[in-house]
Amino acid sequence: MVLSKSPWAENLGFILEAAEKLQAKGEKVAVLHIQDAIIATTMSEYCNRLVDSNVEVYALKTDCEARGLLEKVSPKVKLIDHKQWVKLMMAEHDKIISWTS
Amino acid sequence: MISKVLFVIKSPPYGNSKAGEGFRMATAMIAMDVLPQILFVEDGVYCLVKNQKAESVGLTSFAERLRTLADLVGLQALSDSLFQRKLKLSDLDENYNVKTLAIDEAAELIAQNETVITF
Repeated sequence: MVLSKSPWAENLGFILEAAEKLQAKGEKVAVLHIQDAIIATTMSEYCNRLVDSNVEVYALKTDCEARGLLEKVSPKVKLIDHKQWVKLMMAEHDKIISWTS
Repeated sequence: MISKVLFVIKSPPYGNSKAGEGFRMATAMIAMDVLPQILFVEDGVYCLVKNQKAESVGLTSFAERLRTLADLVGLQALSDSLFQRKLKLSDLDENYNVKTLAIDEAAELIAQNETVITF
């Protein structure tokens, strides 16, 4: 799942539930946060819940740097660059849910 | 002519151009001898976080413009919005000298102005 909106403008509860249910059905789920969605990766409770459900949590490092939030990102989050983003989407997962508008 | 203007910035930085456009408009007003007030609420408070590197995503930082606005008209932020986002004053750029307002003070600020423009 790719998220781009601020968690304050998004229904985080739905995203958490969707990710958890997909994971429980046997899918390998990863949530990538880009643009304003990186704000969510500073919320430890949200990140812990995803990781506890075996969902991988990623954030685009440059978007964290742009907003001055790199140091506030939860240690549970894997920071990636653009090359790793492409690899994550094109090689490591069969399906992409772009939850960005 | 309207002379009491309040800008309410509620959009986070860099995901879209809203906040940046608000700062541009505020700067233009100052050039026309109208001194607006600026209040950051909701996700707008993220505009005030220090050590932003907008150039890392190919955008121009508005930190310098914010510093100028801080010097000329001052910057204010709703304390509840900072608290909800777990942002402390030490997380904000010290050059902005941000003044925090309680919700009652923010309401009073809105009531005092003839025009309120949100971005």
